[in-house]
Amino acid sequence: MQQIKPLKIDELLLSDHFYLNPEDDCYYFKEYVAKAGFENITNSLIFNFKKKLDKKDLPEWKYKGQAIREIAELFSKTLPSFLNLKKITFVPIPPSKCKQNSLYDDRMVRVLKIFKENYNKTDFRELILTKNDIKAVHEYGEEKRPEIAELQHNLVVDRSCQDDLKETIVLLDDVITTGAHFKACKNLLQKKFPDKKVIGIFIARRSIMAGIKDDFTDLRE
Amino acid sequence: MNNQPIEPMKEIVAYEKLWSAETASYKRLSELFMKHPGSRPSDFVNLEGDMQFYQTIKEIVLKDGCFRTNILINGTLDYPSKLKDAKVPIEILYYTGNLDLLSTRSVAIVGTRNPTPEGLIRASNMVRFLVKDGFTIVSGLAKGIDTQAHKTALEEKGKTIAVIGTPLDKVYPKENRKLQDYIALEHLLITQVPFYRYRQQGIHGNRLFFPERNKTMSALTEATIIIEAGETSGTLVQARAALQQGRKLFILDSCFQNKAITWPEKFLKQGAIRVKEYADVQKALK
Repeated sequence: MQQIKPLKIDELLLSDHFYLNPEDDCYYFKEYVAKAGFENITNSLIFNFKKKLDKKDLPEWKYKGQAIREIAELFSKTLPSFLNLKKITFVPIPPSKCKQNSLYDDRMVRVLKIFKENYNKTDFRELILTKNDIKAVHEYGEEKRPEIAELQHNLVVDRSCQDDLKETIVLLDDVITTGAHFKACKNLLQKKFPDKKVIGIFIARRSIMAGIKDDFTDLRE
Repeated sequence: MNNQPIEPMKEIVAYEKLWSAETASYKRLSELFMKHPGSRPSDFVNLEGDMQFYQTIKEIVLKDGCFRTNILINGTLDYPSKLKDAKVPIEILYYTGNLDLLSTRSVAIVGTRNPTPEGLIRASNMVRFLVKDGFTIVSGLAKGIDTQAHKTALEEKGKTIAVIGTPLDKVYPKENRKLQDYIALEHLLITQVPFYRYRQQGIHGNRLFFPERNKTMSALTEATIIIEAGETSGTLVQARAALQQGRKLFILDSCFQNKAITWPEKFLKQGAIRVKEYADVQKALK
C-alpha cells in the first residue's frame, strides 16, 4: 500500500476558503462537495464522523465509532512522516456545543486518544473551549454566518492546560469551509502565545461547485 | 521517499513542464513514476529556474472561467485506485465538478461519431435503464453516441461524467460547449490532457489524446457498452482496454447483425457480452 500524503491549501484552492490567506498553513486529505442533493453519496466518512449525539441509541451509531477509528488510522499513517511529533501540540478546534451540553461531541479527542496509543509521546490538549453553544456551520442556511471576531469572542483558552506547549500548535478539525473557525482559533492562540507557530490539518476541504441555475433542456438544439 | 504534503499548483506546473518536453508521452511518464515509487512531478523538474513558465501555467489554470481546475494525483486519498488497472497508469488527472461521482457505480456508453438514427435511440434507451438502476453514465463528449448518452442522462435526471480528449478549457466538437460547461458545473468533467502541450502542438499531435482518454474512461468505470461502431472506430481502443483491465465489455446485438464489421465476433471470443436486452446488462452488473 502506497503512502498517502496530505495536500496543502495553496493558491490553486485558496479562493474556496474565504477567510484564509496565503500565509495560512492548512492541509487536508479529501475533497468534500457541498452541493444540495449530493451530500453523503461518498462523504460517508465525514458524515458518520459528524453524526450527532442524539443518534446515540440508534443502530447507525456504530458507524461513528468506525469513522473515528478510520480517521485515527489515517492520521497515524500520515502525520508522523511530515510532522516532528516531538515539537507538536495537537489542539482540536472546539465543536459548536460547549462541554456542558449533553450534545457536546468529543470526536476529535477520541481520534487523538487512539493516535496516542500508536505514538505515546503525542501531546494533545483541549486547549480551546467554546463559551456558549453556537450553531453548527450547516445550520445557518441562508442566515449570515458569524465573522471571525465574533467566533473568537466566544472562545477561551483553558488555562489549566496551557503550560509547556510545543513549538507548533496543530489545530485539527473535520472539514474546513470558509476557514473562519480556524482563523478565530489561530488568532486567539497567536495573541496568547505569540512565539508559537499555528497550522491547520483537516480531514476534508469543502470545495465549491459554482452551479448554474439554468435548466439543461435547451441543450437540445 | 518524499512524504511532504502535496502542493497542488506546484504539481500542476511540474506536470505541465514534464509534458512540454518533445519526447513526453503517457507511457514514458508512467514508466518514470513507476521507476520511482512515491514520487511526484516536482521531483523531476526544477521550477525555480523558470518562473515565466510557472506564471504561464498559473494564468491558464486560474483563468476566470465558469469552473475551477483541480487535480487528482497519485498518493492522495481521492486518487481513484482503479486507474492502476490501466496498462499505462495515469499519475495526474485534471477535473472540475463533483468528485463524489467518481465513487458511484458507473458505466461507459460509447460509440461512433456518425450514428444511425437507430443507434441514437438505442443509446438513449440503454442510458434510461442504467439511470433508473442508479448508474452514473460516463462518456467522452464526442459527437454522436457520446453526446446522446450525456444528454439522455441529464434528461433522465441521472448523473454523468465526461472524460474528454482536450484540456478542461477546450471543447471538441465546438457545438458541445454548452453541454461541457453544464457537466463541468453540475456533474463531473475529467481530462488527462495537459493544458500547455495542447496549446503548443497542432491537430496531429493533439488527436492522439482522444484514444488515450478512452483507456482512462474504461479504467474509471465498471463496464463499457458499445452501442454502434465501425471497423476502424476509436471506440475499439476502449473495447480492448476494457478487456485488458478486467472490466466488463458489452456489445449491442445490433452490432453483430451488421455484416460489414467483424470486431463484435472478435471481442465476443475474448470475453465480451452480447446484449440482446437490458436484462443481459443488469444480470452481469449484479
